[in-house]
Amino acid sequence: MATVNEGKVVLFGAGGPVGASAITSLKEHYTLRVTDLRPMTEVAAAPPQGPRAPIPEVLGPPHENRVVDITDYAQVLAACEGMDVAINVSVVRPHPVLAFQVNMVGAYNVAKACVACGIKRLIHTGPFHTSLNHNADYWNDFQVEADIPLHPGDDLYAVSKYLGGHITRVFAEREGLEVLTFVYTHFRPREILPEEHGQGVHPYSTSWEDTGEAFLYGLRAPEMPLPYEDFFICARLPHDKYRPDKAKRLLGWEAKDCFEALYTRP
Amino acid sequence: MRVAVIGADRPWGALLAAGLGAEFEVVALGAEENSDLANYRQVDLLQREALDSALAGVEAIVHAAVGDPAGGDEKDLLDIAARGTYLALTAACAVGIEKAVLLSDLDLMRDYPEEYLIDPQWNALPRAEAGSLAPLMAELVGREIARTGQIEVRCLRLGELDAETSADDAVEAVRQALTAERGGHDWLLAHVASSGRFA
Repeated sequence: MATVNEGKVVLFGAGGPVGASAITSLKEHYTLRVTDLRPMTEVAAAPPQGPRAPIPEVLGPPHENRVVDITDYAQVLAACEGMDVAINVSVVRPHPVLAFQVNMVGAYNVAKACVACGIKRLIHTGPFHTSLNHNADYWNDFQVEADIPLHPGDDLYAVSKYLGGHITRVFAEREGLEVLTFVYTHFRPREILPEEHGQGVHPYSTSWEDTGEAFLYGLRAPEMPLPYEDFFICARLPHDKYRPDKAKRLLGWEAKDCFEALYTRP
Repeated sequence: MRVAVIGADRPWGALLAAGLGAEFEVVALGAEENSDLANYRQVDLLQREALDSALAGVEAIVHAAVGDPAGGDEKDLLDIAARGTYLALTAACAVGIEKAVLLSDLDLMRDYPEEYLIDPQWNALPRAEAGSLAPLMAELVGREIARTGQIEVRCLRLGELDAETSADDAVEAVRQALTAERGGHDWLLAHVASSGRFA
């Protein structure tokens, strides 16, 4: 059974805001091994990645912080040892070499290490690029569901993460590892400032707070229908462009923040 | 037609660079310093600037540089397959090349039961190993870049040289792919087997 109600969770790439959100949601429920390429104290001391983006909290015992280069299999394997579940929120976007190393090879290393360590569930993460400037990018579609095949085009970030996703799918289908892939586009804070009222919202949006909470549901969800499942982790917005219904159906998760104040007239 | 064979220092690439020479003006590109091939040029296949320069004046590419699954570091196998294909195809698009032939591997279909009649409409079935995943990575990059409409990519899955796919059949398949008219789909997949279960 891949469900993990308690135990040890290793996070890869936890220094970013998605990792910060995961730490906040999971720290009271699991013992975390928080890993990033940089020491977490250094990450926490740096400016946020974007305006109002969360910065990871540096946890003390019983949690653990560890420097791990996800492109180094030996380090990834060591980080997975003794863990019950793994979460990979690592990402490199614009670098022409590291994008492939982190987003694709990193995904391979994590999936392989999970199998080697007997971990039964991996939560993988990636982007859904809503507009890639080609005709197959779903930009003009509505009622788009999480099970559609991504079409990353020639975008470096999109392609490299797409390949990493396929690698985890193969591990899921061939090696008995259950992989839940959480897909995101646009993040924002839960709090809506007065000057933001009526300013509109991206049709695929998620609050940082909901982003973190989804991991809790992902760990506690029952066994999935298929070994590999994609999920849109976003608010159900009245645009009806992107539908996160599968996350509610299989994980029991739905966004609390639906940003009505942003898309209604003040 | 001026055709660049990328990976001309690999067995299939060398064979194709030589075999296509009768009909095409071949530019042979490889990472190794030297080759017996005519018009051979050493190029760092993982450097976009080097590829941009090497592809100037080229009308089509044959990408034969996906790693050898029998050896090499896992990280390199995946990187060369994925990033190498990405760089070759994006460089080709940047200089206006509209045709690419991408070599892949019939091993992607090998794990289906022997009694199944496998063709390219069957989903690839790689193993969870870098050597098996590498050709899939190359194919996915090719398919997705083709989907943008900038370039037609014809992917040929080959078997083991001479054991399953003969040199003559491989050269002929690439020749046909290079000269075929562009159709409605920009990603086309074919199996090239001279004998055995995929023939």
